[in-house]
Amino acid sequence: MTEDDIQQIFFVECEEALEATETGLAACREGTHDGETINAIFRGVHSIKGGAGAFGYLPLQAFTHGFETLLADVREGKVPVEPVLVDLLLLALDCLRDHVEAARGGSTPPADADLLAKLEAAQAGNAGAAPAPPLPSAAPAFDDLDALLNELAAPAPAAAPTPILDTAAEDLDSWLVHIRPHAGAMTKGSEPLLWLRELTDLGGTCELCDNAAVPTIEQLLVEQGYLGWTFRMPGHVARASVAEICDFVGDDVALAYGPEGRMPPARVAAPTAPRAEAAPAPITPMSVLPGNETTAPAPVAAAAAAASAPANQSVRIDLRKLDMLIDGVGELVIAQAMLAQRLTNENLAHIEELALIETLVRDIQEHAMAFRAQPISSVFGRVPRLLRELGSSTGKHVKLEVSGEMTELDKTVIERLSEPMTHLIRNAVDHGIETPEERRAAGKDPEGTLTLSAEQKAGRIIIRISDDGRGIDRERVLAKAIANGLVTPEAQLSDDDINQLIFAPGFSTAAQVSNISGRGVGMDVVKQNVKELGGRITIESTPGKGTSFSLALPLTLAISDGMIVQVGDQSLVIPLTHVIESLRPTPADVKGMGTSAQVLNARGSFVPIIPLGLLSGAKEATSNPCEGVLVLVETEGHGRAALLVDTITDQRQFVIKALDAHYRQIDSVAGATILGNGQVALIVDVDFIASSAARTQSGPVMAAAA
Amino acid sequence: MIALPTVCDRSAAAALYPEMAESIGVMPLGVDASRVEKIGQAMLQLLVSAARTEGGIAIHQPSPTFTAALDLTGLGHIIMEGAAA
Repeated sequence: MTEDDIQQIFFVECEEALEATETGLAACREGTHDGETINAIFRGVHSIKGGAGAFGYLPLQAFTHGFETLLADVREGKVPVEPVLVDLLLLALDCLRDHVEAARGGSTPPADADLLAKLEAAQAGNAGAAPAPPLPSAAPAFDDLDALLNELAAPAPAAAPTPILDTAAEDLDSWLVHIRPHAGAMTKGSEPLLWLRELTDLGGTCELCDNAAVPTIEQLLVEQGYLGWTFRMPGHVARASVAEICDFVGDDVALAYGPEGRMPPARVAAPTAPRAEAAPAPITPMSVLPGNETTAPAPVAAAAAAASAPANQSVRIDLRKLDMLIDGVGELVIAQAMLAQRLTNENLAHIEELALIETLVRDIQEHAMAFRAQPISSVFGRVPRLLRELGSSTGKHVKLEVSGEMTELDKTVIERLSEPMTHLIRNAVDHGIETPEERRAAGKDPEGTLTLSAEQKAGRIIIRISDDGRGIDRERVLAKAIANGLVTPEAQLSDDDINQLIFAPGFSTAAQVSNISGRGVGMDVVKQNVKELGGRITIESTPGKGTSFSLALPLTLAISDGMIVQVGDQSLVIPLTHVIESLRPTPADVKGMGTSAQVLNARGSFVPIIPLGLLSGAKEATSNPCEGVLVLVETEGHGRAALLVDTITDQRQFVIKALDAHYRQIDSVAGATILGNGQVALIVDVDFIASSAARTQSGPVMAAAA
Repeated sequence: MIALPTVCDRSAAAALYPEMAESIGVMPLGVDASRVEKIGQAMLQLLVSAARTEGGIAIHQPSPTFTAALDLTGLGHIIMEGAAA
C-alpha cells in the first residue's frame, strides 16, 4: 500500500468523521445530545487532526487543534452546550470541511484566523473578561505552509514560554511520561514524531530517548517501532491531555506515567527466522531508566495487548476491483442466457440444473449490485450545510426534514446526484420559500420547511424534494415562456405542461428573483443530469402551498429492463422505463400527415409514428403500421411517440454495455447489449429519437451504428 | 554519499533501506541531510541503526528540520556522532 492509498483512506475517514460530527451537532442543536454525542464529535475532529498531522496538512491540523481544544472543554462540561455555541461549532465544522477539501485538492486552505479566535474565546478559560495568558497550544492561525514547515523545523517554541509559567512549580510538580510507539503507530498514517511535537507544545521536554532496541542495519525492519521516549511534562498538564495526543492510534502505542512508571518494552514482531535474535533486545532498555527494575512489563502495555482489536466488520475495496466483478457478473448473465438459448434449441430447456444456475446467477447479480449500493444519506448529509449557507445569504431560515436516508442506490448514481440535488435545493430556498415576513403575512410558520425523502418503489428510487413555499407562479412562467418564444400565445397548456417549461433550455427565472440566478446551472441542466442517469423528473406544485420535485432514478446503471423487438434483420432493445403500451393499430387509427409522415390516433390524441426500421437501416423492415407493432413510448420533453417495429420478441433484463468504450458515442443509441443467442442488440435512445423525429420525421440516423 | 530525500517518511525509509544497508562499511558512510523538510520515526530509526553498524554514518549539511527533529527526539548525540565538521 503506497502513501497515496493511505491518504485516500484518510480522506474517506475524514468524510466519515465529518458526517459523524455533523450528526452529533445536529443532535446538540435539537437538544437530544448526551455525553456520548459530545464524545463522538470530539473523536471525529480528533481523528482528522491525527491524520492531518501525519500527512503534514498543517493548516488543517492547526485548525482541528483549535476546534478540538474547545470541544475538550465542552466534553469536560466546562463550557455549556448552548445554541450560540452549537452555531459556532457548526461554523467551525463547515470551515473544517473546507480545510479537508483544500487538503485533498491541494488548494489554498480557507482563511480561518477569525474563526479560530472565536473558538479560542469560547474556551472555558477565556469565558471571563480577563484574557487568559496564551497557552502555547493556542497557536496562531497559519495560512502559509512554508511558515508552518519552518515553525515545525524550529526548535521547540514551547520551551520558551512554559518555564516562565512554571519556574516555581516545575521541579515539584513535573512528571514523566514514557511513550513507546509500536509498529502500527507508524503504519496507519500516523507519525509518532508529531506526538512528541505536541508534547513539547504542551511544555514537555525530552528527557531521554531509548534507542537501545534499535538493531544494526542488517537486522533492522523499517516498519517496526524501536524507539521510546521519556518526556518530562510540567505539573499543570493533565495526564488526560497527554493520553489524548495518541489515543486515536489505540493500542499501537504504549504509555506509562511517573518516575516509577517503566518504559513499555518495544513490541518488535518476531522477525523471520534468521533475524530472531533481534527479539530479546527490548529487555535491555528498561534498565536505563531511573528507578527501573527489569521485571514484569509495564501494566499499560499488558492492558493494551489484552484489549485486542474487535473483529473488522467492513473491508475497503478499490472501486475498480468492484467494477471488474460487476463486469464479470454481467458477462455471466449473458453467458447464462446463451446457455439457456442453446439448450432450448436442443429441447433441453426444462432441465433442473439450468433453473438452478438461473437462480444462482440472479442472486450473485443482486449481491454484486448491492456492493455498489450506498445509502443516500451521503448526499442528504450535505444538505444541512447548504441550508445554513443559503440561510445566511438569503435570510431565510429553513428547517430540514429527512426521511428514508438509508435507502440505497448505486454509487455512480449517488455521485452524480449531488449536483442536480444541490441546484433543486438552492432553487427551493431561493425561489420557493418566501421571506419570513411574507410567510407571516400568509399565516405560515416564518421558518420554511424543506422535506427530503427517498424510497424504493417498483425497481426505482424516488427522491422527493419538497418545500412549503409559494409554489410555481404558472401565469408568470407562461408569460415569460411566451415572451421568450418558447410557446405560442395561443397554445393550450395544462398546469403540468407549464411546470415543465421551467426545464426548457434558455428559460430564465431572472424575472422571478434572485442572486442565485446566473450561477450557470439552469433547470435544464438539472433535467439533463437526471436524464443521463436514466431517471425522470416530475413537478407537483400548488400555489401558496409549495412545490415538490420527484426524481425517479434507476437502482443501477449497469442492468436494466427492456423490451426486445425485431426490426427487419435487426434486434433492438427499448428500455422498459419509457414504454407505456404496445398495440397493433387498425387502418382507421393511422392517419397520413404530409407526404411520408404518419400519426397514430391513440385514444383521441395524435402521436407521431417513428419507423425504427428506417432509422436503423434494417433490411426488410415493415413500413406499414398495420402489419407491425407500435410501441407507445413516453419521453422527457417531447411527449409521446409510437415506435414502429415488426414484432416484440422478449422482455427481459439486459446488461448495458457502453458503445463509446468500444466504438464511439452514437446519437439515438444508448448502448448495446448481448442477447441470449450471442447477437449484439443496440439499445434505443428513445428521447433522442423522439426529438429528432419531431424535427425531421425521417432519415437514416442509426444507419451508422447498424 | 547517500542523500536523504525531502520527505523522509516511512516509505522513503523503506526505499532507502536496501541502499543504506548495502553501502555501509568500515568507513563512515556520508549522508547528505541538506534537503530534509519532513522526517519521521522510521527514517530516524534507520539512521540510528546505521550509526551503530560498522563504521557508522557521517551527516553532512543537516537541514534545520533535520536538526530540529534530532533535538525533539534527543537522538542528536547518536546520529550526529560522526558528523562531518
